[in-house]
Amino acid sequence: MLFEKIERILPLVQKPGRYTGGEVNSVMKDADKVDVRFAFCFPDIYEIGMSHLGMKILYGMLNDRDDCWCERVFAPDKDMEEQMRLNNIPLFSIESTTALDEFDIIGFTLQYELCYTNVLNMLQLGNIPLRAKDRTSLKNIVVAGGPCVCNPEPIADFFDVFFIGEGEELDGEFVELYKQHKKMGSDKQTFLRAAAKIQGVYVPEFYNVEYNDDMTVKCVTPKYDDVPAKVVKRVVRNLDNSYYPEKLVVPFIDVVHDRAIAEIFRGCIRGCRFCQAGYIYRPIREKSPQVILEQVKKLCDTSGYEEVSLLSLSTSDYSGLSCLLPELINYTKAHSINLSLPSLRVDNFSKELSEQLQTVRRSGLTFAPEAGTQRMRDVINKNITQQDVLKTAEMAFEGGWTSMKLYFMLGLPTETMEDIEGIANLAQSVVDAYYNSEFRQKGKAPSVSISVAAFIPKPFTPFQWEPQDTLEMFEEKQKHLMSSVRSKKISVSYHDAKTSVIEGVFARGDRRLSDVIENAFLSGCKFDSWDDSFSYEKWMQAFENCGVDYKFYVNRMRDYSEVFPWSHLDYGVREQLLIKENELAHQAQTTPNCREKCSACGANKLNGGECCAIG
Amino acid sequence: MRSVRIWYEKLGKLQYISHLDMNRLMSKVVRRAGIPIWYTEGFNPHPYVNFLLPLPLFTQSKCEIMDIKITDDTTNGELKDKFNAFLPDGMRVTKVADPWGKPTEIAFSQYDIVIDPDGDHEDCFMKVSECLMGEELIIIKKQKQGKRKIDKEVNLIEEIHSFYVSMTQDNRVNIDIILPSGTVKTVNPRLLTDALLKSTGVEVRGVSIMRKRVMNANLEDFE
Repeated sequence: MLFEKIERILPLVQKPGRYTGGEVNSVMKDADKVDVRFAFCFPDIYEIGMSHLGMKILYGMLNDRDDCWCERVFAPDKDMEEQMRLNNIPLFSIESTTALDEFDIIGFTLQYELCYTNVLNMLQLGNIPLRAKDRTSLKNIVVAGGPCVCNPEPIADFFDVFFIGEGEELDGEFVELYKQHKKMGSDKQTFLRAAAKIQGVYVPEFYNVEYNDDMTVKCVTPKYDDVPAKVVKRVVRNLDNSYYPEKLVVPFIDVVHDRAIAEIFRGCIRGCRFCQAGYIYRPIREKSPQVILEQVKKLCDTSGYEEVSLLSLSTSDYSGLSCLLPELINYTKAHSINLSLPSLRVDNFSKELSEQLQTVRRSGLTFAPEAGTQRMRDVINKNITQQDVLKTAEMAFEGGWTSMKLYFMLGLPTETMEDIEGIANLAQSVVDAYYNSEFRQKGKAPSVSISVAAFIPKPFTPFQWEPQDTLEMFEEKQKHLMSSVRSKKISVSYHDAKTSVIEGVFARGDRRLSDVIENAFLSGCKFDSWDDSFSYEKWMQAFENCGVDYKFYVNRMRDYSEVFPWSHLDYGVREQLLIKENELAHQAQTTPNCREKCSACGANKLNGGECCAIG
Repeated sequence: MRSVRIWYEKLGKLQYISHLDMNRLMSKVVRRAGIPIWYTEGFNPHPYVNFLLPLPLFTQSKCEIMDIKITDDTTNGELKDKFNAFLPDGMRVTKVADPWGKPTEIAFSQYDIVIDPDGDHEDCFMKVSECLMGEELIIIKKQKQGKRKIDKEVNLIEEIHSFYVSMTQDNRVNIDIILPSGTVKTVNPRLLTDALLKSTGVEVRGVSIMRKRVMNANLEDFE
């Protein structure tokens, strides 16, 4: 019935294939024969969501269970939403075209802060009350996971449960418990009290937040004795044995990353001080080359993909790379599959690696020095030198590359205008290196594109205490960078810093921001990560409407003694280490990577003391 | 190496998948099925698939045609089975044969356009019939003349080869119609339907369009 209604509006929207499902390897089940129906919601459009690995893993894992049917739900694009609202069509899953409010568990993955209004929009389109307190039944439990839940406080009022950490085991245990309580006919409260005992499950309504007079958090305390005072992150102990899908849903329409993905390790040995992923995904766990190779073969066989990509935070830090690559290249070549290796570092981009890469399809080269001067790179502990960058550039030019992309950040702690000029200078020296290289392709001009992002301090990093640059500072620095670039071979791109203000607020915000998010949503904010729909004015109005000073959250230097809104969540890394790293940053002192010297961050306690970096 | 012509159906939800997406879909299907297809040469080889006649979005078909090249002695029957084991729901190979006619010989397609009226079905039947039997049904086509973009008026009635309007048992109006579809001239049945509904003011609950025959200029089945 619902599908017929949807079919009537499909001719009126762009890319109807986003909404109709039926893809190869998508999972169909008999709804009457499963105990739990799980709606996996991605708060962005199909093309973005279908590129995301986490969804593929959890979709496969949940559907491997006979008692559960996990279906996918994406945010409809604006034209589709308009038609859905006009025709009273609720948000639906694309497998069985079931309305969202018929699902037992509604799970969101929160990959970036700017998706929060989309979450509310999806709940509203699905006829689900926005606030957890207005949902009283055991049905429609709304949960979320993903990197943003390391500080879920700004959206705590909208969710019943957050999954802290990795979902491979946790999500299954949660579904199992839900099934039991559904059979027993438990009420929502009883179920949530039981669920809070699962490691990694955080039920926000079970915690009281008290504030100081200066607006900072005084304490976060559990309301009940049997609720943990600290919710400890869940990790998968051994990646070789943990669930990985054998089949991937193969989209019909073109999506952002339409390829097989092989995850090679979790965590990162580098400890770059700005990088949240480098801290919250600890400890290091590597998959063995044989397992990776088997998984690649299986995925390519069952999907027919012509491209496979290795995934990790830093591909060239994978200790089994020299063992994996020759075999992998053999396989991909024999099957006309393109291999892509993102996230390479300039300091260990070896000649050997470069030669091996020669044999696979050549795409652009992208490196991330992150900052323009050595001092600045030392502050952020990006342990690479200008020589590393130039050496790699020369090697690449010898190998026939003519273009290179360089990623940087603006607004890093202690940054001066000299550091900004350093970005332009570094790019210039790459251009110069091209002309000095005797092996370069004669007659071709180099092109260096600089992409600069605005730095946003994130929880669980050594910079979590730092003030974020104001909008005016960002804009001035962007202008300064533009005027420092003097070569036509160098192009610069940057984002509107206004989105970074909003992202910064929610990255380190607290529960008082729920009202602001709801207010902004009701005034029409959605798809905030899309330039064409982001409205800074509406957000500013929402802060004003709710009497919230956004600067309190972004532009303020925090004290080491301050209690953070996320202080009751434990991601494994000791706060003492973060403080020490922050102090070292201010002295422009670097810290060796985890393989050179373990800094005893403490994350290995989550894994029974094991960490692949310590060996 | 030999050339093979493959007829297949594209039904149901697959009508929402564009012609461009079909390329990707087929190359994945041949990979999954392990079909000994010839790969294009060059730096980035991919399976060679030639779709003879693009199918517009929102159109189903019982007779899509593609040519591929096979590098070993797999039989036509084996090819059909391999495809059918790996095609998504809604697609099915109906025939595999040696190519006969040249793709450029394709001149006409026959469609069933089924209109589900939102209101009086007999009224819809009358209005649709009258419009199709009338003198003109004008649409504006955007065209390029050199570098200039111009609007060109096209009278769709003149483009129709023949048609037959009938009422189905469940009170839908069926237009069985032959339209040009080839390299020289093509009329998109969806475009015709939209113009028809607009001109007659008929309200509909839904429209489904099915291509059921592909023919040469003499209205013989294209082989």
